[in-house]
Amino acid sequence: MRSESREIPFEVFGIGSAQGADQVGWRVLDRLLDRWHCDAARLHRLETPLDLLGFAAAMGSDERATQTWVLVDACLGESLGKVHCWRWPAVPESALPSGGVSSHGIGLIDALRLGQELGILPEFVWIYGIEIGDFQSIECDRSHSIDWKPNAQFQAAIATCASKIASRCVGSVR
Amino acid sequence: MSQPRSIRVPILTRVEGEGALNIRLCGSRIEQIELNIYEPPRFFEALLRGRSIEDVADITSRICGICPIAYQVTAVQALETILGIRIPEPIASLRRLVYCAEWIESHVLHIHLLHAPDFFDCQSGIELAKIFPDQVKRGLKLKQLGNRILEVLGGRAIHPINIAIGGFYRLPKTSQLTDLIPELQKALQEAIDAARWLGNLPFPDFTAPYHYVSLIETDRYPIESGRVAIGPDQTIGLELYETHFQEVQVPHSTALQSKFLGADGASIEYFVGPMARLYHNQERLGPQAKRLADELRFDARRCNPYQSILARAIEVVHAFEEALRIVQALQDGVLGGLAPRASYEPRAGIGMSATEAPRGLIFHRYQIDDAGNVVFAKIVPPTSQNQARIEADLRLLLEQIHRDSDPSIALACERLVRCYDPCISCSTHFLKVKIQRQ
Repeated sequence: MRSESREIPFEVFGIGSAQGADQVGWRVLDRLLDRWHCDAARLHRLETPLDLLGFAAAMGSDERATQTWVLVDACLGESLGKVHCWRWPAVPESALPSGGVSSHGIGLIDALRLGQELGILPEFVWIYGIEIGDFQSIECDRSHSIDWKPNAQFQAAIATCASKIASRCVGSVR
Repeated sequence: MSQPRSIRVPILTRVEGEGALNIRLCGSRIEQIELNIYEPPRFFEALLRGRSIEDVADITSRICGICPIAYQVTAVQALETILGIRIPEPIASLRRLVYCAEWIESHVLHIHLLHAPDFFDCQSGIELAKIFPDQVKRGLKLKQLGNRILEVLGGRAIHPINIAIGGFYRLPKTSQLTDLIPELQKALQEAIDAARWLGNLPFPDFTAPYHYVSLIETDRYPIESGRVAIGPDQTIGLELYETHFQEVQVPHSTALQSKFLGADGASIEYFVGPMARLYHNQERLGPQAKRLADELRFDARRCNPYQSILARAIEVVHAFEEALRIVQALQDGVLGGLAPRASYEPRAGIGMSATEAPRGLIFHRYQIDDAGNVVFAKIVPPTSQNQARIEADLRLLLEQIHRDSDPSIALACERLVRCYDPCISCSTHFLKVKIQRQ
């Protein structure tokens, strides 16, 4: 992550891991990095939601107050590749359960709840979730697919999600 | 006759990885106490066989998302001994700096979000944040600085990619290091404040006969080098590590357990980590960390595992002091003109290294062939060394609390396990609690 004194209205966080379809958050970020130029947003690649909070805690409250955060992560759901957009805290636990499969049992929702408790979240936090299957299929996928190649469904989802984020951040996809 | 009593904690929470705890009691008799590590074995040593030594640091770093630097540094150092590489002092300092960052990141996370909630009857870091918002926020900021140093030196905070045999793939710009100085100065004071906050915690009255094992150095606190201290005033070189420590398989765990072989041939559970490091090295802490340890009256000889939270907090202060010292020393163009890594010609041989991961001593041994491929690898992580000691501690605790209710026993056992900050993913290269009463 970079810290700059210039005011940047959007922070975009791609959250994921190297395990199978859990990479979708990173792939959306990669697509934005590759095809999108926008001075209004900084892009961050995260492997653990907790690092979102380190970022927030280190940020000044004045800077944070003017910002909007956009988070992209894989979520639970059987309509593989379906893209959701929720505004925190209106996120269904069925899609992003507490604990989840994250390190130390601290999932994205837990990190956001902690951030909210500490008063270190900006007013607008948008979460883009891409469905990648249920717990069981994710566990199977985690075991053997570091070299994940998204199928057409996921490729379309990654493109759609990147385009939606770009539109939200007042940028444009080339 | 007493009825069987079985207590099971099916998933240990606020630990890294997946494990369980099974307890069987018959009256006051403890029939079984098993730290059940069921996370699948990961066969990293076998994965390394046949791979180029250039791949070893990146592969071993994948063993753990919390302490990848420990695996990388230990691996490259072991390989460098085979290849006859001596890295220049500034490069060695950068390795120590990135290792300090890992201690900060790992310890601060465990202190604030995993361990401290236990002392305030909180279920989670979120509950703790309701009582101590400023302290938790401070912890998150400290962790973030650890991440930043990792990014500067490791290329990224999780699974860094910059450590190479002979040095680094790329050296940081001096300005990137200099930029860290004001933040490190501020963080050092905040780390001291954090340790003082923890100094008055209500530590449970529990002690055990610990056999502490850690690295030891004559002139500084050990991080990435040293001899192995196996007892008071008794040290061994790495070449004797496998003579004194033996890994054994137990049916209830996918992780090997490591025991210390005493002079009489008896196998002894031992304790690695911050408590052990301070037991052997407290006088070698940085000046501010040492003053703080004295002020807090920290003494690892009390053998109270709950005080490991204090040990970690003291080590965080030491890590910030050390990081600041290194960064200040590397100003003024010390890195200028330095090759990022030493070149080498592959040659066959056997090499080993031990360093101090955040959770304790980690040992690697490699055999490579003339072409520079791995023939054999052995990796002994800290949690597998602490596993037998954790079970011994649980047995002692159960002797005190076996009359309590099952939920109360399960909670107390989980809390004791968390003192060790176990990393189950590392150990399987860990918690669910099941108690059976008879």
